[in-house]
Amino acid sequence: MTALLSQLGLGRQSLFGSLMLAALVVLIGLIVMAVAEKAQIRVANVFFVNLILVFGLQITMGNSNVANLGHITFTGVAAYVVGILVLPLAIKATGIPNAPFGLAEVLIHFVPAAMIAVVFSTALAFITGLVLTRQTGIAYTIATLALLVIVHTVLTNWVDLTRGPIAMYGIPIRANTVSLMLIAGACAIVARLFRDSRWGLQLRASGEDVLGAEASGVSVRTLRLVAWTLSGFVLSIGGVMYAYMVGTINPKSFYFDAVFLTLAMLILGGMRSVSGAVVGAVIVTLGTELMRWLEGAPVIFGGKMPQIFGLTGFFLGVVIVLFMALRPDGLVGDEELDEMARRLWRERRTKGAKEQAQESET
Amino acid sequence: MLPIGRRSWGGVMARLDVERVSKHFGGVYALRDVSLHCESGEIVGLIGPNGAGKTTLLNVVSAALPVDQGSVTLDGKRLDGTGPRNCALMGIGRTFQNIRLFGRLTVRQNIDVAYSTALAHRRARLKDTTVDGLLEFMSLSAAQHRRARELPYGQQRRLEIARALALAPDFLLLDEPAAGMNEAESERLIGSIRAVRDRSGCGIIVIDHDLRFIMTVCERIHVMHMGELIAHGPPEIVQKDPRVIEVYIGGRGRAKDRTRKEASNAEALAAH
Repeated sequence: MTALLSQLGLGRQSLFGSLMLAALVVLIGLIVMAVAEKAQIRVANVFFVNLILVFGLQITMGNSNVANLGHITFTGVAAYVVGILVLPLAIKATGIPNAPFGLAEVLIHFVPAAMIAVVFSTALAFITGLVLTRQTGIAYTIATLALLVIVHTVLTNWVDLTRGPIAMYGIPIRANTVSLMLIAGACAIVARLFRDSRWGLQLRASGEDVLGAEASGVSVRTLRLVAWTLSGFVLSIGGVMYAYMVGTINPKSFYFDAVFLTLAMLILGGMRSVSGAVVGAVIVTLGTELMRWLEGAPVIFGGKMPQIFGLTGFFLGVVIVLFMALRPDGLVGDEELDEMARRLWRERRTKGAKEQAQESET
Repeated sequence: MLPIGRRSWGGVMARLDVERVSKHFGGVYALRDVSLHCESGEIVGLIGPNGAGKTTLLNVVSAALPVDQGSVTLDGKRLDGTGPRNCALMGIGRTFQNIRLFGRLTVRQNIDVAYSTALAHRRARLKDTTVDGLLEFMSLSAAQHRRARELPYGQQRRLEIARALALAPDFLLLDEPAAGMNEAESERLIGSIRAVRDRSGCGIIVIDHDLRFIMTVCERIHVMHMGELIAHGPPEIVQKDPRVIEVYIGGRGRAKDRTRKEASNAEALAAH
């Protein structure tokens, strides 16, 4: 086990850090389950799905330092695949009676269906990655955006398969807070171990200086492809969990709103660390809930507030702009929380040792 | 003892050949018919005024730029056109004129990046070389947990050399390693460069436009001017070459137009 870890370039710190992070995610879930009411549980479930998506986004964007606007593509594809596979036949008969490939007759148990969806969507990530990772910089970002638009167009217009712009409803609800928090915790471990592995380190190096990394023997393109595929894997899991959580999906759920929500979470927290993804997801979720409350014209101190529509979207835009301008490294910055704690501890100790040395001199 | 390179794994001498290389950008020749050879254990200097084509030559040797004509080979294997990554894994380590470190990563991680690629592709050559050994060799142990971008300039230069050495290279290319260093730092750097050669058996090609520095550290010097090699040989012969003197003292306009470095170069030549 330790031999395998060192082969991957992982030390005890990474293992400890990733477990701490997963524990933190599970702890959030346990607290919510202990104190929250039904409506808040729903918010928490959405939070865990978003958290999975932010981990997925962090794997590519945080490590390679190139903006990615198309990540939600794989979430959408996985959600639709799983939806089509598990939809009860009676609903299929009315909803998508003319589904191609005989899919109208197909019904699969929800676990293998989830696996098929994740494998399919991850394979799509790998294939698109072969093309995308040929691009660099702004061309790459625009290509990811184009991918999002292409897949959205397919989901909206392939009416026989997806019901098009009309929601596909009736997917059996299979996810609850416990399964969501455990899977989010597992994704935290995946993201953190990849970041700390030697491939993650090499990819982060290329994010700092591409030519410097290549001259150090780093295969930038291959690593970007690996990160893109792994990211697609995590994002697909998020898509499956989303479908199993809400039971109703439509193409709009996997478009710009979701892209910018997860992007705001990652940027606010700090995209270079997995801890940043957690912190960002928590704060943005609390913020959007507050905005939603304000949107609904609440009564504050006896005065009725006016109704303001679109406050949540405005809030996300402001978060992205302000953080890009004032604190591009996000709240957490480059280091994971446990790395930061260790550095501060080390600095304190050396400072203490210096002071002791000075005292013994005088 | 820092066991890096051929000597430690018992390999034979390596040979780097630049054969009649030309490179032009638009209509301007950056390199014209340049040939240069270097063997394991040699320290070769490449000197010339700004714009002479020194860095272009280094970029061609490390495959960061393709050649228009000619070839670059390492032990007969073609390097040009393979790309900087393959070139690094085939045995060329290099530093950059405008330092290219991984700023947000720690000093140790900077070395880890190159070390891990070498571990995957050149494991036999690393033998007993460790990241700790490299840190100590370049006097960076105390700073190993600091971020590269927080280091003072001189340490950043040394870190870049340590990172290049982590590839267990057969040849090390240094692009103006002493730029921006004070006298004491550049003295120390000369010591480090010699130590690298002595312990690893690497061949080293050093670029600089400071004559004094190059003449102290190198056994053989090539002088470039306008993309051509105009002289080569041991330092004491090169500095008497009339064409070199013309490039450095005459033909460069009036004295007041010269930079301080050029004045000091002229002084160094005049002293002999």
